[in-house]
Amino acid sequence: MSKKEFLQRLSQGLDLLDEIEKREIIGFYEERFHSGTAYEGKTEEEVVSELESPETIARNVLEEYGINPKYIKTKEQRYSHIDSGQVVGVALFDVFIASWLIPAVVSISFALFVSLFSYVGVVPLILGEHTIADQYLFAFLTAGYVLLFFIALAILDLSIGLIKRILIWHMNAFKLKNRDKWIKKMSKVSMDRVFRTSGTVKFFKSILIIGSIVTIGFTGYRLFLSEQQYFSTYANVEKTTETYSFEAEDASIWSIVAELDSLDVRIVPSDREDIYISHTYTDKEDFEIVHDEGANLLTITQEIEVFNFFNFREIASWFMSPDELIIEVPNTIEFDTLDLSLMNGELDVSELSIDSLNIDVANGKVVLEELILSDLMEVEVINGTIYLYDSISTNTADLTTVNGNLIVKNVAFNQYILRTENGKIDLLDLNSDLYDGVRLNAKTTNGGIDLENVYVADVSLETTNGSIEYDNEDTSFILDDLDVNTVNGSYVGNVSD
Amino acid sequence: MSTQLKKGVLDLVVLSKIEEKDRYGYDIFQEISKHLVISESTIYPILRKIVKEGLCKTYLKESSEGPPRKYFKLTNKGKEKLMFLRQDWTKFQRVVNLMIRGEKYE
Repeated sequence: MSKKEFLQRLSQGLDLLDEIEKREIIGFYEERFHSGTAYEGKTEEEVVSELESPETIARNVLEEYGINPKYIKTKEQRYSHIDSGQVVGVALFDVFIASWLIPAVVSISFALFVSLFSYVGVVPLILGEHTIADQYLFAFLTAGYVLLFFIALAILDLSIGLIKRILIWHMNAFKLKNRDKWIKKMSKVSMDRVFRTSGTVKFFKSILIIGSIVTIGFTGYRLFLSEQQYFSTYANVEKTTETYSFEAEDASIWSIVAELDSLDVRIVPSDREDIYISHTYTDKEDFEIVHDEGANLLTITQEIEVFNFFNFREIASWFMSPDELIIEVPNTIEFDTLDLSLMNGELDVSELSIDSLNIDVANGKVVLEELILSDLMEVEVINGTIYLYDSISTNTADLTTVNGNLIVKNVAFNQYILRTENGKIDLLDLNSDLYDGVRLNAKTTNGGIDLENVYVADVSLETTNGSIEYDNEDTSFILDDLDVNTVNGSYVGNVSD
Repeated sequence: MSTQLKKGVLDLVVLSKIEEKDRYGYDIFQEISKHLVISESTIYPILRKIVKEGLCKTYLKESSEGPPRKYFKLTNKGKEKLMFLRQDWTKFQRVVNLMIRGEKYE
């Protein structure tokens, strides 16, 4: 026992005494320690061994003060009065904090533990034939999983500690009987205890953590940064290209309906006389083009049967160079309908004459350039930015994204409906001549709205968290109606209605 | 020796030791324990008590060997008290002696 612990226990034993008396008695023992150590050259432990136990001393001292410890209430009994303020505090805490904090912390740690099972997907890397890159990746991921395990353990311990604290607080607030006993029992429940009690286990834990960090540093360097760039070798998977050709007469009108899974799509003009489609892919997938000759309709479908999350080669190649679909269109034909839906990938449509355009993308950006439209254009994206450049239409542009920006430049439409949740809206050079009766409605939740040279009769701008800016070079332009609304932001501009 | 008996005279013994010369707590304990088996933890509350009753004063004395120690010095009130206690003790032991020898106290 050290001097500090000795005095602490003595102080606890003398809790019943007046603060000054307690300090005086402890003062004697502090001096006693000085006598032993400084004057007699003993260690603190030796002095402690000369003395009686702190509990015995406390009992004797209390007795000298005329208190018989046998007849004293325990601390628990002394504090048995329920304080209603405290109870209200506990109840409020339960409703507003504990109700989400405990499930959150516990589920995070459990989710991490469950995610560790995905390690079975890492093992095949070194089974059978494998390259040095496979070995590096295996070591990298294994070390990552080891660290993840300890992080999960730490969070689990945190949640256990949190629950214990909250329980103790409840027991104290409600002055539960025998709570001292329960609190003592509870203090033994801990994940970290395993590591604290056994030196060997603690040693292994440190070795594992340090080893993992070193491994991640080394293999990470070899995989991603060194000259060999092992990771990029993964991407050098041989690709296959298949091409399709469809005869197209001059001035014929076509439609394309595409339902695609994961690839980059480009629809571009060409000097050819046929519609030429090239599809470049890594793995066999379900890809089909159906040509309805009577209706000049192309139906393109692609479905990736199983996207194997544990095939790191596939994932790497996807990151480095995704599959591609290029549709080359003769500039002599026009489109009635373009209906494109895509899960993952970029979509690029340029220099086309289209009646109605309908685009649906889940993850990826959409770029639309030099289009001439006559019917509704509807673009919906979940994660990605929409770019619309150099296009004209006598109809509406309806652009919606959830997480991404809307960038519109040098276009003239009859109506604009622009929506994003988390992203900004940038509009530049809209409707320089044709503005009569044109309406623009732009709305975002988290992001700014920036308009420059937008000559539209009826403008409505709305954002919750962001600022709005609206400047026109031609300051003589007066809007029919300008409606600006921002909750947490400011409006700056030189236009008026 | 019975602790109950010891306790009754401990105030007297402690005050006498301080009267000999100014002493610090541990010194007082060591002096007494040369003759009486006594627990250190009973001495300190007594020291505290006699200070509180104004029988003793304390002062810190520096030492070259280590940190300063708290010394106890009798006050006039303490000296008076000690005198009374001594008289009491002499009277008391005479009476007790007589009683335990079975003689009649006159």
